[in-house]
Amino acid sequence: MANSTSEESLQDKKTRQKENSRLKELATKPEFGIFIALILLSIFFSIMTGRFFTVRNFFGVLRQTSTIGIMAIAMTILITSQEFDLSVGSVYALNAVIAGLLVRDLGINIWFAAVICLGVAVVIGIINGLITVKFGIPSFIVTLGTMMLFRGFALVLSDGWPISGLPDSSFYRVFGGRVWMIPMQAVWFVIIAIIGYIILQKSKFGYKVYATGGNREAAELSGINTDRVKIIGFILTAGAATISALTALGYLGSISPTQGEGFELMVIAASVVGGTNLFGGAGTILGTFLGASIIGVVRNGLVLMGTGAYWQRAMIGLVIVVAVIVNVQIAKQRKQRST
Amino acid sequence: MKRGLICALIFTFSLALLFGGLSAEVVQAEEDYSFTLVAHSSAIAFWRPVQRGMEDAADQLGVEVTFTGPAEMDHAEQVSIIESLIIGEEDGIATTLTDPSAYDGIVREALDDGIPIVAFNADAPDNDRMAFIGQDEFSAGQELAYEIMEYLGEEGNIVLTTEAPGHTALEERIDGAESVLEDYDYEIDLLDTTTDLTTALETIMDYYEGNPDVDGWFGVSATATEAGVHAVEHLGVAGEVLAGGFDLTPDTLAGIQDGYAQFTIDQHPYLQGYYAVHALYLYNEYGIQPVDIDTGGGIIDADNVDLVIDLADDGYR
Repeated sequence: MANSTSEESLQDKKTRQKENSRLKELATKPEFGIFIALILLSIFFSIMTGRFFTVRNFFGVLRQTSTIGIMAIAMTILITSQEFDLSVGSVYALNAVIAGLLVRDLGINIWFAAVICLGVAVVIGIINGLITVKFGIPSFIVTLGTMMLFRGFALVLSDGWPISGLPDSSFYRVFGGRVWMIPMQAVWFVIIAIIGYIILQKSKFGYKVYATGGNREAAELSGINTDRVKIIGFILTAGAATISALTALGYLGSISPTQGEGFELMVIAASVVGGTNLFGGAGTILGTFLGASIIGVVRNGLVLMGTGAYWQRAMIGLVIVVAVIVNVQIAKQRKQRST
Repeated sequence: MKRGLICALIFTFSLALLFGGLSAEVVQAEEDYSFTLVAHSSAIAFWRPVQRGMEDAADQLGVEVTFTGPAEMDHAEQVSIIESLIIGEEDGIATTLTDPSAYDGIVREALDDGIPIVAFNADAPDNDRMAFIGQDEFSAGQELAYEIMEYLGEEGNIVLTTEAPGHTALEERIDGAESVLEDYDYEIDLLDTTTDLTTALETIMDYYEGNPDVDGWFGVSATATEAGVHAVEHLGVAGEVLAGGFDLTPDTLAGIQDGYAQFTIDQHPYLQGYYAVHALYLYNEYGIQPVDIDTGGGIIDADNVDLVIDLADDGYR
């Protein structure tokens, strides 16, 4: 009798241990901390307002997050390779202005204009990247300069005037419309996130990105062309800024040369909240997706609660700081355990 | 791991405590209507009397009001805020419409959901909003031109300063002013000051360096006007270069008192907040359709600045 009970409890113990280790394994995932933070915030807002936890609001938040989120996906790849791109907000405006002018003044089909803008994005990425790697100037400074340069171009080209009233096209439904309840901007966000995941975490290029950001010399020694890796990273951020601008144009149907001012810092914040290491070498797309969502959830939740404009800013700042603290703590624990 | 979780728990808990305090009022007044005013660049001093008017109306009517909006003009963010308010089934929304078409979709969405939505302060005429409460911008621009001609006569070399190029209301003011001045011998330059006062001041002072024969600068918006007043003071050109423009920020009024500026045009922002809340209330309570209200006011200059300066200090003008 006594024997069988102890056997049972031994088995119990084993399964419990197994479950425990599974939980531990989950907890060692870098995205775990940020996921918990997102859940806690969502619970908090669900308690505070009955409007938060609805299907409609879920898609609303996802749509609102997409503009910053799409750029943050590419920014994560770039930061992981140890570079920054502060010009994304300006590229977001410049390429929208270019698309608008091509359609309005030259009568070019908006789909074709979108393709041209993506081409411009590649050129912009190469400019940012080449100046950074060939002259050895920190990308923080290079893109600070190009940020102002491209913003100036956007203002000059548009004469500082918004562009709207463009002819109707399927473009607006594909980029900014809605399928049933689902906003297309949210769909694009998810698509870009999946592409970003494949690039960073499943491809050979992604491996090179981690290697470049982790230890550049070692990466060079093992035959990786780190300059090339970084330049491609800059092309990705400029490209993502352009796609984000196209989805915003699809939704709003209007372009303003001042749009996206200050976005660069929100984009970097979303990436860092999601666990991306500011000094390169570590970052995940899922983390960034969750990080952008946290900022989106706070913004939306505060509006639903009827919080005034000035508090909203302060709260988003607070959430960024606390989320990063939680993240760093978890990363430290993980490091301690692994050593 | 544990420490991380504890950190996270403490974070949520402290947030809950913080908002418990912040939202106490909201919970109290839940049996009444809840309205929100959304402004395009909520961080500037101009909105203070709007908020005062909004709060006074809310007190009188016993409704709950919130003032919000992106810190700097950004259509996508402002639309997102309105979208959240619609999802939150707000009883009424008043918003500025600073783009001719960017708000068309979201305003229709509100109306389709049965949420009354009016424009205040800045309007897009082709938008479906139920009414516009604010100054008729084109005629306000003409008024600016007539006032400039009071001082300069039929010829002059002037700068119009704007803090948000493309902002529908401000562009209409510029168009209004140009429509009058183009019949006379005027050289007009346009200058973008941004909404940052320091940048605005430096921009205008730099302009003076390059164009010392300018007769005056006139802002079509609050920050641009205020910066022009400061520029006259800093450059020590009072009397040589005229300054004036729009809105009653404290520094602009003090400048008129001290002789650094000649005049400013009052659009009665207090009324914009006050009537917006009333319009939404009357629609909810009695089904009265909101109507356009022109809040355009008069000229404030050396003759009457003493009368309004105390009221402006208190946030009424």
